[in-house]
Amino acid sequence: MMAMDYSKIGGLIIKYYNEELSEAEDKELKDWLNLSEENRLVFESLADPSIMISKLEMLERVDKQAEWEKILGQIAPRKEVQMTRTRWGRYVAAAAIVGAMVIGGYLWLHRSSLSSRKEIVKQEDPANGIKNDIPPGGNKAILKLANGNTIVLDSAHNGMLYHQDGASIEKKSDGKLAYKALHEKATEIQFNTLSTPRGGQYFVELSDGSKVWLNAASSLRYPVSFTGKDRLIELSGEAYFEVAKNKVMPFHVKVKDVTVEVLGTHFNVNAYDDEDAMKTTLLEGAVRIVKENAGTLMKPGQQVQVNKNGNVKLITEADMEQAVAWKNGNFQFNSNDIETVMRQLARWYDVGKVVYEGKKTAHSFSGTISREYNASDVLKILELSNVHFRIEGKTIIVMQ
Amino acid sequence: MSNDKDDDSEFIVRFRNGNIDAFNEVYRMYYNAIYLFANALIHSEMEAQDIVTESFVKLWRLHPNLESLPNIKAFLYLATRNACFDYLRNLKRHNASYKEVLYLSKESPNEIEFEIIKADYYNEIALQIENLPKQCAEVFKLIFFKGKKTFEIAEHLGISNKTVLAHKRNAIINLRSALLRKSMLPLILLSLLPTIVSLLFLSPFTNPTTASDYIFIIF
Repeated sequence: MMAMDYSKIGGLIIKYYNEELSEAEDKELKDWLNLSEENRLVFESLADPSIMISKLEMLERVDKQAEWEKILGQIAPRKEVQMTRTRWGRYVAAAAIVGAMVIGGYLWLHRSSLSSRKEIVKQEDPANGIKNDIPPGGNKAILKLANGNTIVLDSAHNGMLYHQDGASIEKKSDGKLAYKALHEKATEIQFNTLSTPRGGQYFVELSDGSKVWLNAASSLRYPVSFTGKDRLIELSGEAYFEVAKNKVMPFHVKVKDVTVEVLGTHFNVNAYDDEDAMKTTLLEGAVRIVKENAGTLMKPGQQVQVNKNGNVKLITEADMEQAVAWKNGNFQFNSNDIETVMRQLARWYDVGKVVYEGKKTAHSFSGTISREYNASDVLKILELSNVHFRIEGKTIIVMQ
Repeated sequence: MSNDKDDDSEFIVRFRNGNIDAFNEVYRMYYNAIYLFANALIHSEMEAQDIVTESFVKLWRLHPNLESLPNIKAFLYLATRNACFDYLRNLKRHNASYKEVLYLSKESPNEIEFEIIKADYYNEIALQIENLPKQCAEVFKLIFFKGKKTFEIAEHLGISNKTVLAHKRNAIINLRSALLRKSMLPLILLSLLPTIVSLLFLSPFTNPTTASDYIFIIF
């Protein structure tokens, strides 16, 4: 009965009331009206003002912007297994992640590594006891927008992700996020939060040009666009900063009750809860560490440590290389004990538990190992210092 | 309703390439239609919103495969229709026969087509209003939905009566649908509207000029 293309009828009726019907269209509409009484009734109902008002009111009740953001939040994760290439040329299979909500709270379904190693450390000996290897971390992070919606960045498309609140957000490539200030200024300051899981890392360029490298198990909260008196950033975990100069708007990094006031450029903040002190290392420029109104001015090459008791210590010749080794893709240990070493490994390899069997080794570990390796390769290097490891699923067992 | 073929094809290329802005355009173009359609089938605004969100997500998952705007529209309606049927079928499993009757009547093909026609139509009407400049749209909505008078609107929005009237005139000029324009007219004319509409309806060719002139002169 409906031989005609009903998908165009709505448009024809609109044109009718717009008084824009062409002759051909007018005929098409009349033909449809002549087909049945039902058709004519539908046509008449569309002129009824009370029905129109109720339909339009129904539309007014929907927050279309919020619904759009829900869609955006869901189109980032893709529900198929994909192979992603990390920036160092390793192949890691990343499983899909379904709509995570809370910072740091998401599940990984499964991972397996197909490795083509650059340097071959000893061939794996089955008798060695390291089975079910753990691949290295990669570019993974979750971005939480001002309205609370989250985007899983590792599986998001490259390109524009969002724009509102005075800036546009673009995923430039694997592992890189960039904010660009827009001409329309935001009416109020809105914050985004970038979080990395264990085994993750990410780079973000903020809308003022400042660059931040975020290490694993870390979280950075920052304004989408900088319109206030200062640039206030909140950090937990570890990040390396290269701050864009702006004398009029000072840059502050807040870690709980300690504020790093940035007076120029390149520094690293290490503030993991499970480490005994928060360490800020200055490579270039000038920085002041402020805790409860007491400030410590730093010069390049120095490191300030604030421990759990609140004591502030200034180290004048700090190990710059060690502080930023992670950003350069390496683990670097400098007479560190086994527990410190294992904590760093645990964050990068997303190890669930570290178990110590027997007497804990008193050995201090020094050296540089690439972060690109699988856990077993790194552990094999550490085994040269007379300690043994076993990997069982997500647990590493340390034995004398 | 873009009639420009060139605009359309460039737009479709961007959409197929995964351009989020193009996807947002599609969202703006069709959201109202799909939402009204879903709600007409299942009579639940909350559920309808969820179903519509899902339909757009499904659309995005297939974006390289869609070749034209009519394609996209058809896909959205189809995905939504199926989701609505699934929802109703689920309801049927858990509820009494009342829902069953509703469900059965909505399944007849003509009903679906009518709901699509209506949804398309109201979508366009809503877009015409949405496309008005911001304050003009606010004034229009206060008159259209709430029947407020000029001085009431002026007070409510904190603007002068003159400004309100300027917005009314602006609305008349910019709204393409005669049905929307008429709501800007004084009450006297409203009672004459059925006559005007049937005049338009019965004439072999629509004779817009006469009707509009008539309306404008009185106004």
